Amino acid sequence: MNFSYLKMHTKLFVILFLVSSTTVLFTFYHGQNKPLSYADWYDVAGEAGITLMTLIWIFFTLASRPSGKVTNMLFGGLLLTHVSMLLDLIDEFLTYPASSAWLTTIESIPAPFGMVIMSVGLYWWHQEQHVINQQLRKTERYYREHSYVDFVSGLYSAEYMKMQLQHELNYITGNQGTFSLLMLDICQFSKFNHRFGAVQGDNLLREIAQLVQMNIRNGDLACRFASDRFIVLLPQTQLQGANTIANHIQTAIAHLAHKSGETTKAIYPSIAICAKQYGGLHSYQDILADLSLSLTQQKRNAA
Amino acid sequence: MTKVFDTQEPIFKSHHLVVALVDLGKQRGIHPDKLLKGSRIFYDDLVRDNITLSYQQTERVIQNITKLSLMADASFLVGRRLFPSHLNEIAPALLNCENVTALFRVMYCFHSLFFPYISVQVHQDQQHIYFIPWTTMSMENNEVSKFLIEVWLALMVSVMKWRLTQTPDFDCAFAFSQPKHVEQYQANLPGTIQFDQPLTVIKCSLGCRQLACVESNVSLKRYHLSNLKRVRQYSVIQLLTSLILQGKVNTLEQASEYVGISPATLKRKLKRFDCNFQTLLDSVRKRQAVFQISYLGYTNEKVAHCMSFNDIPNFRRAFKRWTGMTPSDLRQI
Repeated sequence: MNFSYLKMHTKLFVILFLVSSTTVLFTFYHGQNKPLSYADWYDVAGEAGITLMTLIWIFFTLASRPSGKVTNMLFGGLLLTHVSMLLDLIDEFLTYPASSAWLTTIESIPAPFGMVIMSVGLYWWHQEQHVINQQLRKTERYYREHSYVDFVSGLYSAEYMKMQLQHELNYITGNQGTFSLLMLDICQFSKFNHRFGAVQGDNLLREIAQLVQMNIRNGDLACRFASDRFIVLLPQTQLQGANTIANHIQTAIAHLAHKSGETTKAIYPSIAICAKQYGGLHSYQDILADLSLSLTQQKRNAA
Repeated sequence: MTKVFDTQEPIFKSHHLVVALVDLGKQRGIHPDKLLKGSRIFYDDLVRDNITLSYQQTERVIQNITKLSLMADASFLVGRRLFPSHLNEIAPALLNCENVTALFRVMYCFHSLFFPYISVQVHQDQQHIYFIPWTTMSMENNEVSKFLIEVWLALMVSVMKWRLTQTPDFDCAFAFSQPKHVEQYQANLPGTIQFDQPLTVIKCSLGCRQLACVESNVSLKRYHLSNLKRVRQYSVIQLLTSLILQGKVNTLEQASEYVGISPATLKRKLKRFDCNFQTLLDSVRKRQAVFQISYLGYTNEKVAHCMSFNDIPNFRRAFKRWTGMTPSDLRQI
């Protein structure tokens, strides 16, 4: 697990600590201890469990989200619920004198408020997710699987493309359709790596991945294939259209002035790109092998 | 004096492969302990001292890696990165080779410094040069040996790419079936790729031997080579294989006499590789026979003669036992 987000939320953790400890101190100051034999241990176990669970939810919410409005709302809602549960739990061990009897009355009030706030937070989260989905538009189609994301480029990996190709093949055999694929390869990438190091190489891969994404349409899908190769799926596209898009990508990358480190000196990478149109007659394995070989041959002929 | 080792002796320099693998994992957020689990290696020792590891330890790390989908490209990536920084002893010589022949020769003669896990049998005919790689530390075609072949191939290609202006085509045939990460093969290897073949063979045209390297200096190469010590230590399998190929040994007793260890000890050492003398003998001869038939087009008579079989039926029977098919079946593939 990755807990790097937790560092951002120091303030929220302080609030959590203050609120919980104030609740505990306040109730113990006003209340009197009940003899332990009065306690209903089933109740205690259940309530302690819920109190603990709300704490765990708060922890995981904070561990998986950056700071922001949505996080604050979720936190606030969970915190109020937590206070309610905590009061309920303490109640099992304390009796309050008549002057502080209101404490028993209000103990369940924070929870509904907390739940309303959390619901609002969840609605905002829904909207936020919608925006993120829009951002992912060109790297994702209908299906989300985080284990297929390529670590370096941020695109999906070849595994995801294979799955999408299978879908596309099933779809077009029923509908007499067609699709095109682009495959591109960074020229002299191994030399670049030797010269500037693997970390710079990864940066270049990431930049090129972003450029490819910018130059394709909504509904197209770009993935990292392997090493310095990328692959783009263009559904319902003839070869001519695919060539046009290939041209756009090539032009865009030719104008990328890659900077390594702090210097202003630019490196202009170039790519080899190959477009091919496919029907529903082949398996996705054959298609990928064929496309990859075409690109290798094209590079060879150009050399 | 020739020395032999088995899978449990600490022979392999850690910076060669394991450090590169663990570093790659670290870059991807995988804790070193997860990759080193079960290998009895501690990360601190690995980075502090130049320690040596046994094959068993190395194998364990590779097994850990092949289970992680995040590391599916690890073999090719690490292979590409090994040269030149990780091969600090042999890299200066390789960097001064004048052409591909010289590169091949240095890799071959100093293979224990280049990539000790893979040994290569080289053969030439009129048009082609063939490399038959085999793992020096295991007999099986398992995930680990596949991984090592991948690293070795990526390393070879990266040396070529670094030293030459144009990479020659490597036509690769693999004795295993198509792996899930086949795209790594397609993107990293120049040339055709076939799986489910009777033998793993890398073929390239004879013409590539003359391809010149950029910025070479023969006297510097000689100087660096003269500083290298030829290490006369081999894995048990490796030494016996070369003796079998040279036709010097045919039985365990002959082998033990040649190596200078008692038959019982040799047997025990072979057991650590999960094999015995007969299985080793069979696998070496199978490799030779399959190669001669499918790549060199030898007749049964010629192959049988090369392996000093007394008569053809005998050879055909043995061949059937090794491969499950007759020589003529193989010719039809």
